[in-house]
Amino acid sequence: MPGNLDYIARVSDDPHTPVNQSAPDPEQWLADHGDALFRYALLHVADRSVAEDLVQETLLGALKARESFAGRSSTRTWLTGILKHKICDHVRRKTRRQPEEDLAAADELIADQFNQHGLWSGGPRKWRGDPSSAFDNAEFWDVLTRCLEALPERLRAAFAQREIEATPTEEICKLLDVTATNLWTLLHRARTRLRACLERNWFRSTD
Amino acid sequence: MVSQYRLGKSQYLKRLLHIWHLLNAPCSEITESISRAQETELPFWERLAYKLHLLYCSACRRYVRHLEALRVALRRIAGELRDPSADAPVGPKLSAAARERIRRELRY
Ligand SMILES: [Zn+2]
Repeated sequence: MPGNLDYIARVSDDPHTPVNQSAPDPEQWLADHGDALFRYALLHVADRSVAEDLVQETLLGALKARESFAGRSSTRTWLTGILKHKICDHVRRKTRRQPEEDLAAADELIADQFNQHGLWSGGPRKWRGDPSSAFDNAEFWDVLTRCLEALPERLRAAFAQREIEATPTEEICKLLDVTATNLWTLLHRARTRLRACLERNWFRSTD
Repeated sequence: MVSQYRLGKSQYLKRLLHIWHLLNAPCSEITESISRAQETELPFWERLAYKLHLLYCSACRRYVRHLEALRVALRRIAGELRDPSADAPVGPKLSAAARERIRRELRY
């Protein structure tokens, strides 16, 4: 899907990063950037072994394309750009094979958050701590990964593309092959489920 | 002429009912508007309805705040992961086995 690739190429072109050294060493890429790429992939796919495979595909892809890496951006920016392509390929492969969510039917996990009048039952609680500083805690990563893992593939992909990458909605519609109306529903469900999951397992204050 | 007037009147009533429904929407529907407002510009009455709702519903205000805080946090961590000078010491790492497997693959 060329539209999406253009978008990713555009955002990964950072003019402020210094011109990079030549003759990159793939094993050095693994040592310097492996964990960061792994975490990045994990935020998108929420599965360790899939994330590991994506890191491997990224580095192998980088090895093949090293000639074209002219040092216009930093090695990390370049590798992350390749990883984003691999993530999109993965999402396309996975969601094509999975049955579409029945968006006309109510989402049970969301319905459970409201009473019969549509009012919050137990509602959003006051959160302890701030999500930004939660990432400094290794346990939060586990909770977040499990909450993302609990989302169906399409919801997770829609959420990650929109909330992490800020990908324009038309691009996400093409990636997931859904209409704009269906994407709005997917995003609402993903946000509402993930918020509740994180509140239940991490942010709920004890008082 | 008369029938046209009647049609216009019933559509007018339908529209009023729609607006009345929007202004009385419960939290479950308001959260849909809140979410959709991130992606598209909402029609005037729907926008007004959720803004009015937020004035008196603290639970929905929290819903908005939580989603915003999550978005900010996720974009920040993704930005840090793209920046080698900001490598965080905590967080999941490649397992030794995966690292070894990838190293072998890179040699071939
Ligand atoms: Zn409310």
